[in-house]
Amino acid sequence: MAVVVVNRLVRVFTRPRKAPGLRGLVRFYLRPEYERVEALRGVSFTLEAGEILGYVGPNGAGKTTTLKVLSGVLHPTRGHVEVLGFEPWRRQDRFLRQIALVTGHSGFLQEVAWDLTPMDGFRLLKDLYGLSEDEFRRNLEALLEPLDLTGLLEVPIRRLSLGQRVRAELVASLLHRPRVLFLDEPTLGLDIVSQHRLRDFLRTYVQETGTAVILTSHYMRDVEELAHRLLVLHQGRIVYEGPVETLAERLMPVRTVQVVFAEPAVHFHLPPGLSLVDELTARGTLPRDQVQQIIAELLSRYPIQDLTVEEPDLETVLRHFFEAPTP
Amino acid sequence: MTRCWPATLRKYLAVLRLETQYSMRYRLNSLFYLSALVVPVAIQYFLWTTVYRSRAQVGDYSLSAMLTYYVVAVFLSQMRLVAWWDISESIKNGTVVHYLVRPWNHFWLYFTRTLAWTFPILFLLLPGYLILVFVLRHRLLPPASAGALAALILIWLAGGLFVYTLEYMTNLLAFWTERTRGFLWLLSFLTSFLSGALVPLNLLPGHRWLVLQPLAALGYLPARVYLGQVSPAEFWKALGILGLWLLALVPLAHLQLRRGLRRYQPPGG
Repeated sequence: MAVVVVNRLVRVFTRPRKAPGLRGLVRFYLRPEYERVEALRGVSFTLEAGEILGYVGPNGAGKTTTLKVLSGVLHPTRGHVEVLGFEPWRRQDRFLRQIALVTGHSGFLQEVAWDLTPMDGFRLLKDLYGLSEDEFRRNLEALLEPLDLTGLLEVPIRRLSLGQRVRAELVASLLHRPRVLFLDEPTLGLDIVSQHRLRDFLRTYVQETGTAVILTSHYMRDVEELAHRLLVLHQGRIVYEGPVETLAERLMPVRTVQVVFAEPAVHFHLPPGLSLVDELTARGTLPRDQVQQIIAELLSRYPIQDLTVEEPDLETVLRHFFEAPTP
Repeated sequence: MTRCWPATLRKYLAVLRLETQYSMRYRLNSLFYLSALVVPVAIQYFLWTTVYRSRAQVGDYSLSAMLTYYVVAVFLSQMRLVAWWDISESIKNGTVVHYLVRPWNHFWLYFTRTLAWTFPILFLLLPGYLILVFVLRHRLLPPASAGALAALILIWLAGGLFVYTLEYMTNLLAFWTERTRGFLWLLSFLTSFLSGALVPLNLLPGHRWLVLQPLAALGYLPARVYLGQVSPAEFWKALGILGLWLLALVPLAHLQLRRGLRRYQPPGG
């Protein structure tokens, strides 16, 4: 059963338009101008328990706006949103006890306990969510070791590294065992080791607890490794929904081809899309529906030592898609 | 399902504990609080001893009553709940999100945080206050009665909740205007004046109305109660008016938050 249902969600913002300089400021004072921005234009999707949904798109696509609507911070302008059977914007106590929002750029602990220790923040959350001492200890211990935070509980938060702070924020968001977790770029700014550790933790955590997760990230490795399903958002609209594996087929009608010739290929006649990277190797992208035919032609005309045909990685597909001119 | 009171109270007590620790973390900054009471009272002392050289009475105040008034009113107005440090900032920069996605009432959460910042002020003001009382011991009057002290605390607490609510609502204007510093500055100035911490309100023109406005509960009314210059009938009338203000304003503050959130546009979506 779906724990999150989003149906034709629209969220409209207004933003001021002011010409630069003092003159622009005076004009804005006298006659302010605002423009209407549709951050979300009819977004629909569902999320099941135990599912990790990768939610990707360029900056300004509407990812964070969606998460804020789902966590009850923003009101939808139009459309229907339901999380665990609640309308999030009503911010009912029972709803808020079952969700958590983690943002990579700032966090709850940093807000309330910057000069204090993670344990001070965790104890506050224990009372906030009404956890018994046993429950608190059990939940905390289950999170500390995999997130490598044991031994850091009494260090002021401002003295922790970015990676440690993000992991502490994750503990703070999971202490009450939320049923739905919204992760907004949780690996932002983390080094490769920390990213890897966080991904490993999330994968295991979701398997063990059945938590439903919506994950936004600019690091495609996060999405490739964790997401069961992918939603691609562009200019407030969903342009792809489905498995990560079939994204390339839908959004990028090319495949990456590498040919290693058995003899120097400088005088060979290569098809458009392929070019030499050294005197023996040609690389490039070919239209998906012509790959077979082009390769057969190459094989019949030239001596080939090695041939590789690959699906482009997620980052390449998305870059290709987002850089293409909007129709 | 409504959660039981002890559980609800426990979460705000946890905020109180944490925030009290937070507010006392900088030792040097804390020391400056010591001067917060001494300086304004010292200024008033020099001002009023000069005035009283040419007369024995100003309004219904003797010099001793006037100095006692200031020691009490200035102390209580310094202790007032100031909620204006970061609510509007958190709205403007979007960090309010971290509070909104957790199960607490935003109004009472900030009330508790504000209260927590009052404890260290009390703790740090007390030594300066005791020194001041000792130095002026021959000039100051004792409280009218033990009952007067209890009444003073009651009216001051109600006044504190009132001014917190006003400041909270002013902060929430950030949902509409983003910056609220100008409004808060104006409110702070009006609060200082209308609380009676600058001049006893009954010495001003229009004092019949001034003494009934709710901000008088922050300094003027408690100081007059201490001096025994407020009759029981006047006290209950003032408290009743304050209660009515609170009954109207607290739900209005909650409504304002809901309305603000409806149009909220945090940075970054």
